[in-house]
Amino acid sequence: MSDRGRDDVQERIAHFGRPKTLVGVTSLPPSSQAVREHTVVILDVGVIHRVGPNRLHVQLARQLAREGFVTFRFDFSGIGDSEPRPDRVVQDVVRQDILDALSYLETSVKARSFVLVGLCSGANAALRFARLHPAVVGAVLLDPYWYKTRGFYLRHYGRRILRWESWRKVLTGRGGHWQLVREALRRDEPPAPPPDDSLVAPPNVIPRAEMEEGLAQLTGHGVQLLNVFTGGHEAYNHKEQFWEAFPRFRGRGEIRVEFLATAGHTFQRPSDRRAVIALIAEWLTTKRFGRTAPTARAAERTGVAPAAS
Amino acid sequence: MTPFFFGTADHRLFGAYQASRRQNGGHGVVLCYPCGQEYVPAHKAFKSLASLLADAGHDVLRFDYHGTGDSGGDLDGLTAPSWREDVSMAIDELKDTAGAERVSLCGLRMGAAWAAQVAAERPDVDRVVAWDPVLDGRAYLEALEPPDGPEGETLPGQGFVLTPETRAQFAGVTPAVYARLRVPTLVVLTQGDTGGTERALRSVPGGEHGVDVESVPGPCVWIEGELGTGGLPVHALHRIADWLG
Repeated sequence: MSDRGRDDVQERIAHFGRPKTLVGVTSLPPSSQAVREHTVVILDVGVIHRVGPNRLHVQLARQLAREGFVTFRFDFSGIGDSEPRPDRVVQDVVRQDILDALSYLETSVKARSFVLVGLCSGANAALRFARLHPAVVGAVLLDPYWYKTRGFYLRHYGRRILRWESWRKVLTGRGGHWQLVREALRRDEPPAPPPDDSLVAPPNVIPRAEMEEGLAQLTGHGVQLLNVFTGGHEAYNHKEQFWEAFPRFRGRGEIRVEFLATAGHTFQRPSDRRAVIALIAEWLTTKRFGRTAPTARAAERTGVAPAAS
Repeated sequence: MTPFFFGTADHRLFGAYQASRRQNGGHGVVLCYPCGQEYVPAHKAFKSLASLLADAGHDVLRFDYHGTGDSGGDLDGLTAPSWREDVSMAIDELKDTAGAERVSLCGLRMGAAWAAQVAAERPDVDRVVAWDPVLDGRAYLEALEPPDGPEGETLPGQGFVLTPETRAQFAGVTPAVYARLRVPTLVVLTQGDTGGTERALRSVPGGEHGVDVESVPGPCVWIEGELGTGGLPVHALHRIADWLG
Protein backbone atom coordinates (compact mmCIF):
# COMPACT_ATOMS: atom_id res chain seq x y z
CA MET A 1 0.00 0.00 0.00
CA SER A 2 3.00 2.23 0.26
CA ASP A 3 2.93 4.99 -2.29
CA ARG A 4 6.47 6.12 -1.68
CA GLY A 5 8.19 6.94 -4.92
CA ARG A 6 5.13 6.27 -7.03
CA ASP A 7 2.69 9.11 -7.00
CA ASP A 8 0.52 7.22 -9.47
CA VAL A 9 -2.64 8.76 -8.05
CA GLN A 10 -3.29 12.18 -9.51
CA GLU A 11 -4.66 14.67 -7.06
CA ARG A 12 -6.38 17.96 -7.72
CA ILE A 13 -7.04 20.70 -5.23
CA ALA A 14 -10.60 21.96 -5.09
CA HIS A 15 -11.64 25.43 -4.05
CA PHE A 16 -15.39 25.25 -4.04
CA GLY A 17 -18.64 26.33 -2.43
CA ARG A 18 -20.71 29.44 -2.86
CA PRO A 19 -18.61 31.53 -2.41
CA LYS A 20 -15.48 29.43 -2.75
CA THR A 21 -14.56 29.13 0.88
CA LEU A 22 -14.14 25.35 1.05
CA VAL A 23 -10.96 23.42 0.28
CA GLY A 24 -10.67 19.77 -0.68
CA VAL A 25 -8.53 17.32 -2.60
CA THR A 26 -9.76 14.95 -5.32
CA SER A 27 -7.82 11.71 -5.72
CA LEU A 28 -8.21 10.33 -9.23
CA PRO A 29 -7.61 6.74 -10.33
CA PRO A 30 -4.46 6.12 -12.37
CA SER A 31 -5.03 6.38 -16.11
CA SER A 32 -4.62 2.61 -16.41
CA GLN A 33 -7.47 1.99 -13.99
CA ALA A 34 -11.12 1.98 -15.04
CA VAL A 35 -13.12 4.53 -13.07
CA ARG A 36 -15.83 3.01 -10.90
CA GLU A 37 -19.39 4.27 -10.74
CA HIS A 38 -19.57 5.65 -7.23
CA THR A 39 -17.58 8.55 -5.80
CA VAL A 40 -16.26 8.31 -2.26
CA VAL A 41 -16.42 11.37 0.00
CA ILE A 42 -14.44 11.38 3.26
CA LEU A 43 -15.68 13.68 6.02
CA ASP A 44 -13.65 15.50 8.66
CA VAL A 45 -13.28 14.11 12.17
CA GLY A 46 -14.03 16.80 14.73
CA VAL A 47 -11.51 19.60 14.41
CA ILE A 48 -8.90 17.47 12.61
CA HIS A 49 -8.56 18.67 9.05
CA ARG A 50 -8.97 16.59 5.94
CA VAL A 51 -5.76 14.54 6.25
CA GLY A 52 -7.44 12.69 9.10
CA PRO A 53 -5.98 11.29 12.28
CA ASN A 54 -2.64 9.67 11.58
CA ARG A 55 -3.11 10.63 7.92
CA LEU A 56 -5.75 7.94 7.58
CA HIS A 57 -7.86 9.90 5.10
CA VAL A 58 -4.95 10.54 2.75
CA GLN A 59 -3.91 6.91 2.69
CA LEU A 60 -7.51 5.77 2.30
CA ALA A 61 -8.22 8.23 -0.52
CA ARG A 62 -5.14 7.20 -2.48
CA GLN A 63 -5.73 3.48 -2.04
CA LEU A 64 -9.37 3.78 -3.11
CA ALA A 65 -8.27 5.82 -6.12
CA ARG A 66 -5.95 2.96 -7.05
CA GLU A 67 -8.96 0.69 -6.82
CA GLY A 68 -10.78 2.91 -9.32
CA PHE A 69 -12.81 5.17 -7.04
CA VAL A 70 -12.68 8.93 -7.43
CA THR A 71 -12.24 9.93 -3.79
CA PHE A 72 -12.68 13.35 -2.26
CA ARG A 73 -11.58 14.66 1.12
CA PHE A 74 -12.39 18.17 2.22
CA ASP A 75 -12.59 20.47 5.21
CA PHE A 76 -15.84 21.59 6.74
CA SER A 77 -16.32 25.35 7.10
CA GLY A 78 -13.92 26.78 9.66
CA ILE A 79 -11.83 23.60 9.81
CA GLY A 80 -8.39 23.17 8.26
CA ASP A 81 -7.98 25.32 5.16
CA SER A 82 -11.69 26.04 4.70
CA GLU A 83 -12.88 29.45 5.76
CA PRO A 84 -15.90 29.97 7.98
CA ARG A 85 -19.07 30.51 6.02
CA PRO A 86 -19.67 34.20 5.43
CA ASP A 87 -23.40 33.52 5.65
CA ARG A 88 -23.32 32.62 9.33
CA VAL A 89 -27.08 32.42 9.44
CA VAL A 90 -26.90 29.07 7.65
CA GLN A 91 -28.23 26.73 10.29
CA ASP A 92 -27.02 23.42 9.01
CA VAL A 93 -23.45 24.28 8.10
CA VAL A 94 -22.23 20.70 7.79
CA ARG A 95 -25.20 19.72 5.64
CA GLN A 96 -24.58 22.70 3.36
CA ASP A 97 -20.86 21.90 3.20
CA ILE A 98 -21.52 18.29 2.15
CA LEU A 99 -24.13 19.46 -0.36
CA ASP A 100 -21.57 21.87 -1.82
CA ALA A 101 -19.00 19.06 -1.99
CA LEU A 102 -21.40 16.76 -3.82
CA SER A 103 -22.43 19.54 -6.19
CA TYR A 104 -18.79 20.25 -6.93
CA LEU A 105 -18.14 16.59 -7.68
CA GLU A 106 -21.22 16.34 -9.88
CA THR A 107 -19.77 19.14 -11.98
CA SER A 108 -16.05 18.40 -11.83
CA VAL A 109 -15.99 14.62 -12.23
CA LYS A 110 -19.57 13.95 -13.33
CA ALA A 111 -20.28 12.08 -10.11
CA ARG A 112 -23.80 10.70 -9.86
CA SER A 113 -23.76 8.58 -6.72
CA PHE A 114 -21.78 8.71 -3.52
CA VAL A 115 -20.46 6.67 -0.65
CA LEU A 116 -19.73 8.69 2.49
CA VAL A 117 -16.93 7.74 4.87
CA GLY A 118 -16.59 9.15 8.36
CA LEU A 119 -14.87 8.41 11.64
CA CYS A 120 -16.42 9.24 15.02
CA SER A 121 -18.33 12.52 14.62
CA GLY A 122 -17.69 12.21 10.89
CA ALA A 123 -19.49 8.86 10.94
CA ASN A 124 -22.41 10.43 12.76
CA ALA A 125 -22.54 13.20 10.17
CA ALA A 126 -22.35 10.62 7.36
CA LEU A 127 -25.28 8.69 8.77
CA ARG A 128 -27.37 11.77 9.24
CA PHE A 129 -26.61 13.15 5.79
CA ALA A 130 -27.08 9.80 4.05
CA ARG A 131 -30.70 9.89 5.15
CA LEU A 132 -31.21 13.23 3.48
CA HIS A 133 -29.57 12.89 0.09
CA PRO A 134 -30.95 10.58 -2.58
CA ALA A 135 -27.62 10.14 -4.36
CA VAL A 136 -25.90 8.59 -1.34
CA VAL A 137 -25.86 4.83 -1.94
CA GLY A 138 -23.61 3.76 0.90
CA ALA A 139 -21.77 4.84 4.01
CA VAL A 140 -18.77 3.64 5.94
CA LEU A 141 -19.23 4.41 9.61
CA LEU A 142 -16.01 4.10 11.58
CA ASP A 143 -16.64 4.13 15.33
CA PRO A 144 -19.98 5.92 15.14
CA TYR A 145 -21.75 6.86 18.37
CA TRP A 146 -23.04 3.68 19.98
CA TYR A 147 -25.09 2.36 22.86
CA LYS A 148 -24.00 0.37 25.90
CA THR A 149 -26.03 -2.82 26.11
CA ARG A 150 -26.36 -5.30 29.00
CA GLY A 151 -23.90 -7.43 27.07
CA PHE A 152 -21.44 -4.53 27.06
CA TYR A 153 -21.62 -4.20 30.84
CA LEU A 154 -21.34 -7.96 31.39
CA ARG A 155 -18.23 -8.17 29.23
CA HIS A 156 -16.78 -4.99 30.67
CA TYR A 157 -17.16 -6.06 34.30
CA GLY A 158 -16.70 -9.76 33.62
CA ARG A 159 -13.12 -9.09 32.62
CA ARG A 160 -12.50 -7.18 35.82
CA ILE A 161 -14.26 -9.43 38.26
CA LEU A 162 -11.26 -11.67 38.83
CA ARG A 163 -8.88 -8.82 39.44
CA TRP A 164 -8.05 -8.06 43.08
CA GLU A 165 -7.64 -4.37 42.32
CA SER A 166 -11.20 -4.21 41.02
CA TRP A 167 -12.54 -5.87 44.19
CA ARG A 168 -10.53 -3.55 46.38
CA LYS A 169 -12.09 -0.53 44.68
CA VAL A 170 -15.57 -2.04 44.96
CA LEU A 171 -15.18 -2.88 48.64
CA THR A 172 -13.80 0.53 49.46
CA GLY A 173 -16.55 2.22 47.48
CA ARG A 174 -14.12 3.91 45.13
CA GLY A 175 -14.52 3.98 41.37
CA GLY A 176 -18.29 4.46 41.29
CA HIS A 177 -18.95 0.79 40.56
CA TRP A 178 -22.19 0.55 42.52
CA GLN A 179 -23.71 3.40 40.58
CA LEU A 180 -22.68 1.79 37.29
CA VAL A 181 -24.08 -1.58 38.38
CA ARG A 182 -27.39 0.03 39.30
CA GLU A 183 -27.39 1.79 35.93
CA ALA A 184 -26.67 -1.44 34.08
CA LEU A 185 -29.44 -3.29 35.87
CA ARG A 186 -31.94 -0.53 35.45
CA ARG A 187 -31.79 -0.13 31.68
CA ASP A 188 -29.82 -0.89 28.59
CA GLU A 189 -28.95 2.67 27.72
CA PRO A 190 -28.28 6.00 29.33
CA PRO A 191 -31.08 8.44 28.60
CA ALA A 192 -30.92 9.80 25.07
CA PRO A 193 -30.44 13.50 24.59
CA PRO A 194 -33.30 15.32 22.93
CA PRO A 195 -33.65 14.57 19.22
CA ASP A 196 -31.76 16.92 16.99
CA ASP A 197 -31.61 16.34 13.28
CA SER A 198 -29.62 19.43 12.43
CA LEU A 199 -26.06 19.44 11.17
CA VAL A 200 -24.73 22.65 12.58
CA ALA A 201 -21.57 20.75 13.49
CA PRO A 202 -20.60 17.11 13.12
CA PRO A 203 -22.74 15.52 15.83
CA ASN A 204 -21.02 13.82 18.74
CA VAL A 205 -24.17 11.99 19.77
CA ILE A 206 -26.87 10.26 17.76
CA PRO A 207 -29.93 9.55 19.92
CA ARG A 208 -30.85 5.87 19.93
CA ALA A 209 -34.26 6.49 18.41
CA GLU A 210 -32.72 8.45 15.57
CA MET A 211 -30.16 5.72 14.91
CA GLU A 212 -32.86 3.07 14.73
CA GLU A 213 -35.01 5.21 12.47
CA GLY A 214 -32.01 5.99 10.30
CA LEU A 215 -30.99 2.35 9.94
CA ALA A 216 -34.55 1.42 9.05
CA GLN A 217 -34.86 4.19 6.50
CA LEU A 218 -31.49 3.60 4.86
CA THR A 219 -31.73 -0.18 4.66
CA GLY A 220 -35.30 0.24 3.44
CA HIS A 221 -33.95 2.24 0.53
CA GLY A 222 -31.17 -0.26 -0.16
CA VAL A 223 -28.36 1.96 1.11
CA GLN A 224 -25.35 -0.16 2.06
CA LEU A 225 -23.74 0.41 5.45
CA LEU A 226 -20.34 -0.78 6.60
CA ASN A 227 -20.04 -0.31 10.36
CA VAL A 228 -16.54 -0.68 11.72
CA PHE A 229 -15.91 -0.51 15.45
CA THR A 230 -12.50 -0.48 17.10
CA GLY A 231 -11.28 -1.63 20.46
CA GLY A 232 -10.76 2.04 21.19
CA HIS A 233 -14.50 2.79 21.14
CA GLU A 234 -15.52 3.69 24.69
CA ALA A 235 -18.97 2.13 24.39
CA TYR A 236 -18.39 -0.91 22.17
CA ASN A 237 -16.56 -4.09 23.11
CA HIS A 238 -17.85 -6.97 20.97
CA LYS A 239 -18.79 -7.56 17.35
CA GLU A 240 -22.27 -8.68 18.40
CA GLN A 241 -22.99 -5.45 20.23
CA PHE A 242 -24.42 -3.87 17.09
CA TRP A 243 -27.06 -6.59 16.94
CA GLU A 244 -27.57 -6.51 20.71
CA ALA A 245 -28.56 -2.88 20.40
CA PHE A 246 -30.72 -3.36 17.31
CA PRO A 247 -31.70 -7.03 16.95
CA ARG A 248 -34.41 -6.22 14.40
CA PHE A 249 -31.74 -5.53 11.79
CA ARG A 250 -29.92 -8.82 12.20
CA GLY A 251 -29.77 -10.55 8.86
CA ARG A 252 -30.25 -7.39 6.80
CA GLY A 253 -27.93 -7.73 3.86
CA GLU A 254 -27.42 -3.98 3.67
CA ILE A 255 -25.62 -3.89 7.02
CA ARG A 256 -22.17 -5.29 7.61
CA VAL A 257 -20.49 -5.01 10.99
CA GLU A 258 -16.83 -5.50 11.75
CA PHE A 259 -15.04 -5.20 15.07
CA LEU A 260 -11.30 -4.50 14.96
CA ALA A 261 -10.60 -5.34 18.58
CA THR A 262 -6.92 -4.44 18.60
CA ALA A 263 -7.22 -1.18 16.66
CA GLY A 264 -7.24 2.18 18.39
CA HIS A 265 -9.90 4.80 17.77
CA THR A 266 -7.56 6.90 15.61
CA PHE A 267 -5.82 3.95 13.91
CA GLN A 268 -2.46 5.01 15.20
CA ARG A 269 -0.62 1.85 14.24
CA PRO A 270 0.19 1.52 10.54
CA SER A 271 -0.99 -2.11 10.59
CA ASP A 272 -4.41 -0.99 11.85
CA ARG A 273 -4.65 1.57 9.08
CA ARG A 274 -3.72 -1.00 6.49
CA ALA A 275 -6.36 -3.35 7.88
CA VAL A 276 -9.20 -0.86 7.87
CA ILE A 277 -8.29 0.51 4.44
CA ALA A 278 -8.21 -3.02 3.02
CA LEU A 279 -11.56 -3.75 4.63
CA ILE A 280 -13.18 -0.64 3.16
CA ALA A 281 -11.69 -1.33 -0.28
CA GLU A 282 -12.90 -4.92 -0.21
CA TRP A 283 -16.41 -3.85 0.81
CA LEU A 284 -16.58 -1.13 -1.83
CA THR A 285 -15.38 -3.38 -4.61
CA THR A 286 -17.63 -6.34 -3.80
CA LYS A 287 -20.90 -4.72 -2.75
CA ARG A 288 -23.66 -3.95 -5.19
CA PHE A 289 -24.88 -0.45 -4.57
CA GLY A 290 -28.22 1.03 -5.44
CA ARG A 291 -30.90 3.13 -3.86
CA THR A 292 -34.59 3.28 -4.32
CA ALA A 293 -36.33 6.58 -4.82
CA PRO A 294 -36.04 8.98 -1.90
CA THR A 295 -38.99 10.04 0.10
CA ALA A 296 -40.58 13.33 -0.72
CA ARG A 297 -39.60 14.43 2.77
CA ALA A 298 -35.94 13.76 2.16
CA ALA A 299 -36.02 15.65 -1.12
CA GLU A 300 -37.81 18.49 0.56
CA ARG A 301 -35.29 18.66 3.41
CA THR A 302 -32.23 18.65 1.19
CA GLY A 303 -33.59 20.85 -1.51
CA VAL A 304 -32.19 18.30 -3.96
CA ALA A 305 -34.40 16.83 -6.62
CA PRO A 306 -34.81 13.06 -6.30
CA ALA A 307 -32.27 11.19 -8.41
CA ALA A 308 -33.19 8.36 -10.68
CA SER A 309 -32.71 5.13 -8.80
CA MET B 1 -5.13 31.73 0.58
CA THR B 2 -4.28 29.67 -2.48
CA PRO B 3 -3.72 25.94 -2.01
CA PHE B 4 -1.62 24.27 -4.69
CA PHE B 5 0.80 21.47 -5.44
CA PHE B 6 4.40 22.16 -6.33
CA GLY B 7 7.55 20.17 -6.83
CA THR B 8 7.85 17.34 -9.32
CA ALA B 9 5.58 14.48 -10.32
CA ASP B 10 7.64 12.14 -8.17
CA HIS B 11 7.97 14.57 -5.29
CA ARG B 12 4.70 16.45 -5.04
CA LEU B 13 4.33 18.89 -2.16
CA PHE B 14 1.16 20.58 -0.95
CA GLY B 15 1.45 24.29 -0.29
CA ALA B 16 -0.86 27.04 0.88
CA TYR B 17 0.21 30.43 -0.41
CA GLN B 18 -0.94 33.57 1.31
CA ALA B 19 -0.17 36.72 -0.66
CA SER B 20 0.87 39.84 1.16
CA ARG B 21 -2.01 42.19 1.78
CA ARG B 22 0.17 45.25 1.40
CA GLN B 23 3.44 46.37 -0.18
CA ASN B 24 6.26 44.41 1.36
CA GLY B 25 9.41 45.09 -0.53
CA GLY B 26 9.70 41.51 -1.70
CA HIS B 27 9.90 39.67 1.60
CA GLY B 28 8.58 36.17 2.02
CA VAL B 29 8.20 33.78 4.95
CA VAL B 30 8.22 29.98 4.72
CA LEU B 31 6.50 28.22 7.61
CA CYS B 32 7.89 24.83 8.60
CA TYR B 33 5.47 22.50 10.37
CA PRO B 34 6.48 20.20 13.19
CA CYS B 35 6.44 16.49 12.38
CA GLY B 36 4.63 13.41 13.60
CA GLN B 37 1.72 13.81 15.94
CA GLU B 38 2.53 17.50 16.41
CA TYR B 39 1.54 18.38 12.84
CA VAL B 40 -2.24 18.13 13.08
CA PRO B 41 -2.74 20.21 16.23
CA ALA B 42 -0.39 22.89 14.88
CA HIS B 43 -2.29 23.33 11.61
CA LYS B 44 -4.75 25.92 12.87
CA ALA B 45 -2.06 28.10 14.45
CA PHE B 46 0.00 27.97 11.25
CA LYS B 47 -2.98 29.10 9.22
CA SER B 48 -3.52 32.00 11.62
CA LEU B 49 0.16 32.92 11.61
CA ALA B 50 0.18 32.95 7.80
CA SER B 51 -2.77 35.31 7.77
CA LEU B 52 -1.15 37.57 10.36
CA LEU B 53 2.10 37.71 8.41
CA ALA B 54 0.23 38.49 5.19
CA ASP B 55 -1.48 41.37 6.99
CA ALA B 56 1.97 42.58 8.05
CA GLY B 57 3.17 42.64 4.43
CA HIS B 58 4.78 39.24 3.89
CA ASP B 59 4.14 36.67 1.19
CA VAL B 60 3.76 33.41 3.06
CA LEU B 61 4.04 29.77 2.10
CA ARG B 62 3.21 26.94 4.47
CA PHE B 63 3.67 23.48 3.08
CA ASP B 64 3.52 19.79 3.97
CA TYR B 65 6.75 17.80 3.90
CA HIS B 66 6.79 14.90 1.46
CA GLY B 67 5.01 11.97 3.06
CA THR B 68 2.99 14.19 5.39
CA GLY B 69 -0.33 16.01 5.14
CA ASP B 70 -1.59 16.32 1.58
CA SER B 71 1.83 16.00 -0.02
CA GLY B 72 2.72 12.96 -2.06
CA GLY B 73 4.36 9.86 -0.73
CA ASP B 74 4.23 8.29 2.67
CA LEU B 75 6.55 8.40 5.60
CA ASP B 76 8.19 5.01 5.26
CA GLY B 77 11.91 5.46 5.29
CA LEU B 78 11.93 9.21 4.92
CA THR B 79 14.88 10.99 6.40
CA ALA B 80 15.73 14.37 7.74
CA PRO B 81 17.66 15.36 4.58
CA SER B 82 14.46 14.82 2.61
CA TRP B 83 12.59 17.28 4.79
CA ARG B 84 15.40 19.81 4.63
CA GLU B 85 15.29 19.51 0.85
CA ASP B 86 11.57 20.18 1.05
CA VAL B 87 12.22 23.40 2.99
CA SER B 88 14.63 24.45 0.25
CA MET B 89 12.08 23.61 -2.42
CA ALA B 90 9.51 25.72 -0.59
CA ILE B 91 11.92 28.67 -0.45
CA ASP B 92 12.52 28.42 -4.20
CA GLU B 93 8.79 28.10 -4.85
CA LEU B 94 7.97 31.18 -2.78
CA LYS B 95 10.69 33.23 -4.46
CA ASP B 96 9.36 32.15 -7.84
CA THR B 97 5.67 32.59 -7.05
CA ALA B 98 5.83 35.85 -5.16
CA GLY B 99 8.98 37.32 -6.61
CA ALA B 100 10.36 37.48 -3.09
CA GLU B 101 14.00 38.50 -2.95
CA ARG B 102 14.46 37.77 0.73
CA VAL B 103 12.97 34.87 2.64
CA SER B 104 12.72 34.19 6.34
CA LEU B 105 11.95 30.83 7.90
CA CYS B 106 9.72 30.11 10.86
CA GLY B 107 9.62 26.57 12.20
CA LEU B 108 7.89 24.90 15.11
CA ARG B 109 9.50 22.12 17.16
CA MET B 110 11.43 19.84 14.78
CA GLY B 111 10.41 22.18 11.97
CA ALA B 112 12.57 24.80 13.67
CA ALA B 113 15.56 22.47 13.47
CA TRP B 114 15.04 21.85 9.76
CA ALA B 115 14.60 25.60 9.19
CA ALA B 116 17.81 26.40 11.07
CA GLN B 117 19.79 23.76 9.22
CA VAL B 118 18.59 25.04 5.85
CA ALA B 119 19.30 28.64 6.88
CA ALA B 120 22.88 27.62 7.66
CA GLU B 121 23.29 26.31 4.13
CA ARG B 122 21.55 29.00 2.07
CA PRO B 123 22.72 32.58 1.74
CA ASP B 124 19.28 33.87 0.76
CA VAL B 125 17.66 33.21 4.13
CA ASP B 126 17.17 36.48 5.94
CA ARG B 127 16.00 35.53 9.43
CA VAL B 128 14.93 32.51 11.42
CA VAL B 129 12.20 32.09 14.01
CA ALA B 130 12.50 28.93 16.11
CA TRP B 131 9.18 28.43 17.86
CA ASP B 132 9.34 26.03 20.81
CA PRO B 133 12.28 24.41 19.04
CA VAL B 134 13.57 20.92 19.68
CA LEU B 135 16.92 21.52 21.37
CA ASP B 136 17.64 17.95 22.39
CA GLY B 137 16.87 15.40 19.70
CA ARG B 138 17.50 12.45 22.02
CA ALA B 139 14.97 13.67 24.57
CA TYR B 140 12.54 14.30 21.73
CA LEU B 141 12.90 10.72 20.55
CA GLU B 142 12.37 9.34 24.03
CA ALA B 143 9.16 11.31 24.38
CA LEU B 144 7.88 9.90 21.09
CA GLU B 145 7.90 6.28 22.18
CA PRO B 146 4.30 5.08 22.44
CA PRO B 147 3.33 3.90 25.92
CA ASP B 148 2.60 0.37 24.73
CA GLY B 149 5.87 0.07 22.88
CA PRO B 150 6.76 0.71 19.28
CA GLU B 151 5.25 -1.30 16.47
CA GLY B 152 7.69 -1.61 13.62
CA GLU B 153 9.58 1.40 14.90
CA THR B 154 6.71 3.75 14.27
CA LEU B 155 6.35 7.31 15.37
CA PRO B 156 3.01 8.06 16.99
CA GLY B 157 0.80 10.41 15.08
CA GLN B 158 1.64 10.46 11.45
CA GLY B 159 2.66 6.82 11.59
CA PHE B 160 6.01 7.14 10.01
CA VAL B 161 8.57 4.44 10.29
CA LEU B 162 11.39 5.74 12.38
CA THR B 163 14.31 4.00 10.75
CA PRO B 164 17.62 3.79 12.60
CA GLU B 165 19.01 6.35 10.15
CA THR B 166 16.20 8.81 10.82
CA ARG B 167 16.46 8.18 14.54
CA ALA B 168 20.16 9.06 14.39
CA GLN B 169 19.40 12.27 12.50
CA PHE B 170 16.77 13.30 15.02
CA ALA B 171 19.18 12.53 17.83
CA GLY B 172 21.73 14.82 16.20
CA VAL B 173 19.62 17.91 16.83
CA THR B 174 21.33 19.94 19.54
CA PRO B 175 21.46 23.62 20.57
CA ALA B 176 24.33 24.03 18.11
CA VAL B 177 21.83 23.86 15.24
CA TYR B 178 20.53 27.26 16.35
CA ALA B 179 23.51 28.79 18.13
CA ARG B 180 25.76 28.71 15.08
CA LEU B 181 23.34 30.50 12.79
CA ARG B 182 24.81 33.63 11.26
CA VAL B 183 21.45 35.30 10.59
CA PRO B 184 19.25 37.03 13.17
CA THR B 185 17.38 34.33 15.05
CA LEU B 186 14.51 34.51 17.50
CA VAL B 187 13.64 31.61 19.78
CA VAL B 188 10.04 31.88 21.00
CA LEU B 189 9.07 29.77 23.98
CA THR B 190 5.41 29.39 24.86
CA GLN B 191 6.44 27.27 27.80
CA GLY B 192 9.63 26.07 29.37
CA ASP B 193 12.75 27.52 30.80
CA THR B 194 13.99 30.64 29.04
CA GLY B 195 17.14 30.77 31.15
CA GLY B 196 17.94 27.13 30.50
CA THR B 197 17.50 27.61 26.77
CA GLU B 198 19.77 30.65 26.79
CA ARG B 199 22.43 28.77 28.76
CA ALA B 200 22.18 25.81 26.37
CA LEU B 201 22.65 28.09 23.36
CA ARG B 202 25.53 30.06 24.94
CA SER B 203 27.35 26.88 25.88
CA VAL B 204 27.82 25.92 22.25
CA PRO B 205 31.49 26.34 21.29
CA GLY B 206 31.82 28.67 18.36
CA GLY B 207 28.26 29.86 18.69
CA GLU B 208 27.38 33.27 17.31
CA HIS B 209 25.47 34.10 20.49
CA GLY B 210 23.18 36.21 18.34
CA VAL B 211 20.07 34.32 19.21
CA ASP B 212 17.32 36.15 21.06
CA VAL B 213 15.30 33.98 23.43
CA GLU B 214 11.90 35.23 24.48
CA SER B 215 9.22 33.72 26.66
CA VAL B 216 5.74 34.37 25.32
CA PRO B 217 3.45 32.18 27.44
CA GLY B 218 0.50 30.63 25.66
CA PRO B 219 -1.07 27.36 24.58
CA CYS B 220 1.23 24.67 23.21
CA VAL B 221 -0.30 24.31 19.78
CA TRP B 222 1.71 21.21 19.02
CA ILE B 223 0.25 19.12 21.82
CA GLU B 224 -2.58 16.85 20.70
CA GLY B 225 -4.41 17.15 23.98
CA GLU B 226 -4.91 20.85 23.35
CA LEU B 227 -6.41 20.23 19.93
CA GLY B 228 -9.53 22.30 19.63
CA THR B 229 -9.48 23.34 23.26
CA GLY B 230 -6.25 25.17 23.81
CA GLY B 231 -6.97 28.22 21.73
CA LEU B 232 -4.33 30.08 19.80
CA PRO B 233 -1.09 31.47 21.23
CA VAL B 234 -2.13 34.94 20.17
CA HIS B 235 0.75 36.76 21.86
CA ALA B 236 3.36 34.42 20.37
CA LEU B 237 1.89 34.79 16.88
CA HIS B 238 1.93 38.58 17.15
CA ARG B 239 5.47 38.57 18.54
CA ILE B 240 6.66 36.48 15.60
CA ALA B 241 4.96 38.81 13.14
CA ASP B 242 6.38 41.91 14.87
CA TRP B 243 9.91 40.50 14.95
CA LEU B 244 9.82 39.58 11.26
CA GLY B 245 8.92 43.21 10.59
